[in-house]
Amino acid sequence: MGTHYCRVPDTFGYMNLAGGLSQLKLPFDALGGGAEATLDVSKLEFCDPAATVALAGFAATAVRSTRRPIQLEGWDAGSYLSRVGFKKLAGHADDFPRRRLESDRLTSLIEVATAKQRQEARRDVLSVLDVHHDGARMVLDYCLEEILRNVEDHADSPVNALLQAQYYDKRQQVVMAVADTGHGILRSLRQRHQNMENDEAALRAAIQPGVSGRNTRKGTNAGLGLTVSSSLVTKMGGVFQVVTGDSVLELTGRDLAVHKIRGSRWPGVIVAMVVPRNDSLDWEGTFTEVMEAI
Amino acid sequence: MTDSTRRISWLGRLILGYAKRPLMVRLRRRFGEQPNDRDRAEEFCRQRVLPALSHGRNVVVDFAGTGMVTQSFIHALVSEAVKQDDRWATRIELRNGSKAQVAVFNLALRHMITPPTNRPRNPQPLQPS
Repeated sequence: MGTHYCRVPDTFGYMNLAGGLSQLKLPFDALGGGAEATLDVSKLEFCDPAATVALAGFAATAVRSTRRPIQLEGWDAGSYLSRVGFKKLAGHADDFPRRRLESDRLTSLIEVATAKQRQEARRDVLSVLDVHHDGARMVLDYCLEEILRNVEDHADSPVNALLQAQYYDKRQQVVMAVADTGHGILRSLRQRHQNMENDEAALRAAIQPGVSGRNTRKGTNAGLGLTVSSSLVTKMGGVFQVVTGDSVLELTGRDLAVHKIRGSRWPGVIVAMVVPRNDSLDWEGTFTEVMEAI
Repeated sequence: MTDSTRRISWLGRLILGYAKRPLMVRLRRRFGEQPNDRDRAEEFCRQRVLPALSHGRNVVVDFAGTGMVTQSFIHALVSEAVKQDDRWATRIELRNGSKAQVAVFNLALRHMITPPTNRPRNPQPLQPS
């Protein structure tokens, strides 16, 4: 048993998960041997929901496999991570010094396991993000439900789905992220597609309709969750990112790119969605169009 | 036709009509305003939807008073039945659905009846990061 030390880079996130995870090199493999982990967050200045759920996923997995709190170096009780309730998932008491305000427009980290929790989490997210437009609510709600349910159906994760979301007023963007630390897309797809070569191939396949459909431990599944969610987000002018293993897939309305995480892997799946909040969009019409096109 | 046979055929029609009455699935009453509990939907499909369709009854799915539904939920609600005989899909009627809800239902049904390939298409080459 040893101690694994990870220094979190000063800016971690905002659609640069491949870069952040490459620098961070989270020691998931060492956790099985009972090794302690230390996260040094002293340099962290900016963190977004995708990076937050990644750090929380690692911390919660470490706590549950070693049954010890994770060591946090350079912890600031007034920081973003503290504000979203990271410390509880790292096995410590929450020490955020003030009351969390609704006007903050960001949610705490939410762990979601059941259909009822999914429903409550979606309601919380939509109310905190202050989305009042019916069509926008429907699209965000739809994507969240599908992504959260995917974790329940496929992930077999030591921690349940971890969700965090924030509204960025300046950019007028909603960012929502969900992470698990289960067996990842490649292993999940290989149960039906034995020839699936690597994480990149699995990511490219997973967004195609029907490829991930199968009888899951929770019943039958059409394999359309990622296809529909990614199409909705990109059609609304947003960015859809999926991380699994050593690859990060990034989809926009124009491009599909796969980036590599260098020297590290994410064991489960992280899905990050950036959606512009544009009330003049015909959300319902676009939603229907996407449904008819798939 | 005698009075008694006329009476029997009237009764027979009544009984037959009762046996073939459509199964009403009021989503709000059964699954709440946000009907997305797939486990309950699958159970309902096995216990009510599948037997109804297999006995020649129609199924009416009523969306009144419900919000967003996902294709996963719809899949859970009817796929076990439709996979047994895809012609049964024509006996499922939608009521009070918004344009979006009907589109979700049709998407789910389309992929139940003709799943795209269930096989990944030609993988695209890696693009530079």
